[in-house]
Amino acid sequence: MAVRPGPVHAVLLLALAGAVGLVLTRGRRTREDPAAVLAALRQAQGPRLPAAGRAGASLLGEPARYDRDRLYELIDGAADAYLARGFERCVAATFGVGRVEVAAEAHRFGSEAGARAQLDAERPRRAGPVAGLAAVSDGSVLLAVSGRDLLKLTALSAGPGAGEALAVLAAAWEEGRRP
Amino acid sequence: MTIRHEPERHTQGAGEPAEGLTRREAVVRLSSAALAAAAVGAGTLGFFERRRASAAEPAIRDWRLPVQGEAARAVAARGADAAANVRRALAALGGMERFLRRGETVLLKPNVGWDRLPEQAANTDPLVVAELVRLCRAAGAARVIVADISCNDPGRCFARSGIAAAVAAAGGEALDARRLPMAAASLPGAAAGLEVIEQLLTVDRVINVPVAKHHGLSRVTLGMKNWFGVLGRGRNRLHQDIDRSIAELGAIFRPTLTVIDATRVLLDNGPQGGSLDDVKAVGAVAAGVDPVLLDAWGAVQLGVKPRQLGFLVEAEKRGLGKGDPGLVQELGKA
Repeated sequence: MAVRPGPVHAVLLLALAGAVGLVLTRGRRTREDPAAVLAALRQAQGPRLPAAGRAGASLLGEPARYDRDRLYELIDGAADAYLARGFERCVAATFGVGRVEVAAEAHRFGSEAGARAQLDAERPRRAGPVAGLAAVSDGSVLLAVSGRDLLKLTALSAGPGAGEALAVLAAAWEEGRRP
Repeated sequence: MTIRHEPERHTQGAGEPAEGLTRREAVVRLSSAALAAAAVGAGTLGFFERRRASAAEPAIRDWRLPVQGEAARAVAARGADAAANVRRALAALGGMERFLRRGETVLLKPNVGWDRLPEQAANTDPLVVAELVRLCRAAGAARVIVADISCNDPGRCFARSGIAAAVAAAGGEALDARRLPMAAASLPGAAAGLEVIEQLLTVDRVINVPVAKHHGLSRVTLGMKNWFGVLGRGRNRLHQDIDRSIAELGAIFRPTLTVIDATRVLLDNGPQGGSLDDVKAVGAVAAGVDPVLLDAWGAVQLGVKPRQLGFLVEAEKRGLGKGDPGLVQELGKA
């Protein structure tokens, strides 16, 4: 039985044309701006840990990722303060830098202000600036903010060399974030 | 003699055969349908009533022993030697023999939540845990097991905290937290439906051994908050109403003994800590049978007034103990 074209078919055809047009427009816009594509990809990747190779460090185990629902699994009762400041997601891992082991967490916030507020809240009382880096450290913990990301490094080995290990990892992190 | 039943056809009208359905077939089909309906109904009922069904799960035992005579409810010992502080406090309470019988199995519940060094004061001091293991063994415990459900990687937490090695050297057994068997238990309130460490249901005595430290949500974490660490997946929901949840846990878990470790206390950025700047060496240990009193004492070591802590007020209201740290018998420095 032959089907005669009717108004319904016209509406469906119009909707299809609209969808194709939307995809083409967005695709062209993205193709025309490779920097925007790169930025969008970076954004989608989420926060990044320091590159172990760049720091002369080794990654001990697999990095673990957390979102707003799972942050409690990483930091338990401290999570509320992060969430209140716009925490979005984070990645955490342990590094070996020489004889020093370091716990690293890279947290992404909704805004740079949120990341900075968290840094201020956690800043150790005797923390000072780290030479050549936008970071503060007291030798056992280092905190750095870049854009919307907060890097928190905690030395897990006592004794000399801990502060240097934190600085090396923080430098690798900053370097890796440069375009 | 056998009776032969002829298939009897149902008729829709006089002399009009039905569509091949015999009485027997009808009975079989109706029975099957009834059985299926019953199964679905029972399943649905079971699903919606699973919370009530959990009441049939084993209850958490009360591990306390009756307090005899004028024995102190809590004592605190101070000094640079953490193990000596534990020994002095226990001796003042009448000795570990007062709290367990020969041949019993004892579970120690320290805080081993974090991949941190002892110096960072996020976990219970290994010297405190090890000394308790020794005292339990010396008092005749057949087995002393140490368990906690860590927040960070359990293998790293038990190793880095020094607790795995210290417990093994003292003759105890740190359970492998990566393969910790969990069991359903009858838990009321916010913890309903959560699983607990299976050994809790079988051991004879339980000693709670928290470290005194700051906590971002409840201000401090001490003994009653330490019970979070025996609960399985989903325990985060207890953070919703933290003060009430902590008091509830205090009502559920009634340990034989509570030992608060204030060898080093974490004053800020808890519970995980990290910065040595946040740590204060207090050099004290308190032990006793009143968890509320001991939490109140621990709060004071952190510079917090017990009355400012919602969970302590709530626990006292529930009659779980006394929140007056002045009632703790201070033994002074060794």
